[in-house]
Amino acid sequence: MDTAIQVENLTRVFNQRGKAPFHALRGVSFDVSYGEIFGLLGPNGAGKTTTIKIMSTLLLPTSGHVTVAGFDIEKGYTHIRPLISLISGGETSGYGILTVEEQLWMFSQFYGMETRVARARIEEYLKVVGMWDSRRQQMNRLSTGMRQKVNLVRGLVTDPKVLFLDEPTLGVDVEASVIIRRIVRDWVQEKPERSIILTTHYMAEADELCSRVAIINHGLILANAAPSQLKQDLDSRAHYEITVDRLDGKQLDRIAAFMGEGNDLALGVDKGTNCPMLVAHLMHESDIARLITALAGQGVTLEYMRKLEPTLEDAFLKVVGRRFEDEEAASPVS
Amino acid sequence: MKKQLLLFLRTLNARAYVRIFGQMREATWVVASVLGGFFTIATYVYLYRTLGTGSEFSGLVVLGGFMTPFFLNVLWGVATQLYWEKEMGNLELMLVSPAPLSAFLVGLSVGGAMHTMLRSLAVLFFGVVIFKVEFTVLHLLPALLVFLVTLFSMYGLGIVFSSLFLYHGRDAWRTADLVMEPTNVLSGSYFPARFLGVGLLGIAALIPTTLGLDALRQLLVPSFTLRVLDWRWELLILIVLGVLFAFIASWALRSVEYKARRDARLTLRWQ
Repeated sequence: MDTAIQVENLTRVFNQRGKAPFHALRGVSFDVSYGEIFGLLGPNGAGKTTTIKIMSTLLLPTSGHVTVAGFDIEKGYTHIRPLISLISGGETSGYGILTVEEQLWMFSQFYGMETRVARARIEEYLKVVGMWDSRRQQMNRLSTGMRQKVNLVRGLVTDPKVLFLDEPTLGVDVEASVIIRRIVRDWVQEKPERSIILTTHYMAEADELCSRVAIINHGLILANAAPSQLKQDLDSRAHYEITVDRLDGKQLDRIAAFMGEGNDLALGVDKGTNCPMLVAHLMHESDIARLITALAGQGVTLEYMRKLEPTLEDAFLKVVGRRFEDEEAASPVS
Repeated sequence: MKKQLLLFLRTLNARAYVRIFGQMREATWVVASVLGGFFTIATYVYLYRTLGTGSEFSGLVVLGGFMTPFFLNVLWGVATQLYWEKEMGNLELMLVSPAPLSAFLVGLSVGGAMHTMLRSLAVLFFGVVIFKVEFTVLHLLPALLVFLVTLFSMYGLGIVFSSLFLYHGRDAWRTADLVMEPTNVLSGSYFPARFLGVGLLGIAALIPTTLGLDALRQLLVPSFTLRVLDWRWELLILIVLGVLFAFIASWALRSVEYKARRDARLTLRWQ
């Protein structure tokens, strides 16, 4: 069986006293394969966390069908729970009076692990995250980054098949974020029967980790594809910035005529060197060779050339229609 | 089946560990609670001595001081615990795990009882030494049985409350506050429960401390005659209450978990 998670036409309505019902999910469908890191992207209130809560058996759907590791989340949730772990960003779970080691052991016991096996895995993962020396430190004395590393270890110690990561690097410094991302990537590659569902605010993180992402907003999936595909769909043209020793308007016109219609060229200035900079939007990747030939034909020398790649945030902008931060600011849910 | 039992026991052990060893690290809290318990019994012992009552009254007060922390632990450490676990973000992790909620609650009951035992024994020790209270050891085994059955019944009631408090969220704190003082009075912690009268005793008997304490006084305090019922009947009632509470607790936990998943009360804090 290759499908770790199957979500079909999932809806969730929250009834609030004295208010109109809130439709958090309005017919969400997707599937996640084993071996995959699947990203759910969207602003606050988009429905990401509700989806995760349903998949992790914490919340019942209003309608629709969800299976995790082959079990139905409504009828077979007791079979699902031993196979999953949930890690949320900014999590303050556990007990501050316990040491790191005690806390991790305690959570391992909730999965029925033998203490000997649990202790061996705790040691292994604490060393991986660089916290073995802090194992006897009390939880309430840890920094946010350290606490999040402990949360990650907690999620991994029980060797789940499906790991739910809800904003795992939220509020964590750059160094800790890098470590967490590395561990997450290595963990899923280690065994083929593992998969991860990731929600994140950080587009670069999703781009780096996820084999596929679904963009969700207002309870609807707006796009579901590999990050590279989403970026490619954004614009099929190739974009370059070329810094040259000299280039004037007349030369630019001649080059533009040579390149033909559909290839857009603009002249600017390289802010670093103050040299002329040509910004080229080419119909095909291969047109770059013709452009270089044309520049050489005008006696222009290339100083520096850079290919401009579209980002996942650009794809989000296209799909959602607004930039991610704008969505955050406009969201009614904080 | 064996796997499920092991999971239950391991969860119980881990959750009890936090109560027993974790809270020992908060030394000031342990000292304060022992001193608080001691000063309460001191107040009542001096009151009874001022009134010139018999020496058995000092004994019943010290036993009341011994049992009261258990009831407070049931109320604040078990009944409200699921609600606090939700606020701390632990409840989600407990539910996502394969362990049943009952294992967590039995674990924190066992841990809470053991942790409270140390404080209660300290209160008992100071009471005996400082106020020279005498107890009889002739019926030590039945007294131990009554004590254990009372704890079983009390913590069973605590687990019933915990599922109700979880579902009713913020009101839990106020409810616990509201319940605390009347139950202190009704359980006859510092006076013979018989003085409550038949009507109130009918209600008070539902609080396991009432009959448990009365039975312990009969078995341990010499010349204590102001009993409610014979201790054997009280023991029987406590067993019935304990089994009943355990049954209701098991049903309530499953039911509340389902309702909470349906109504999103497990995932939204401050609800």
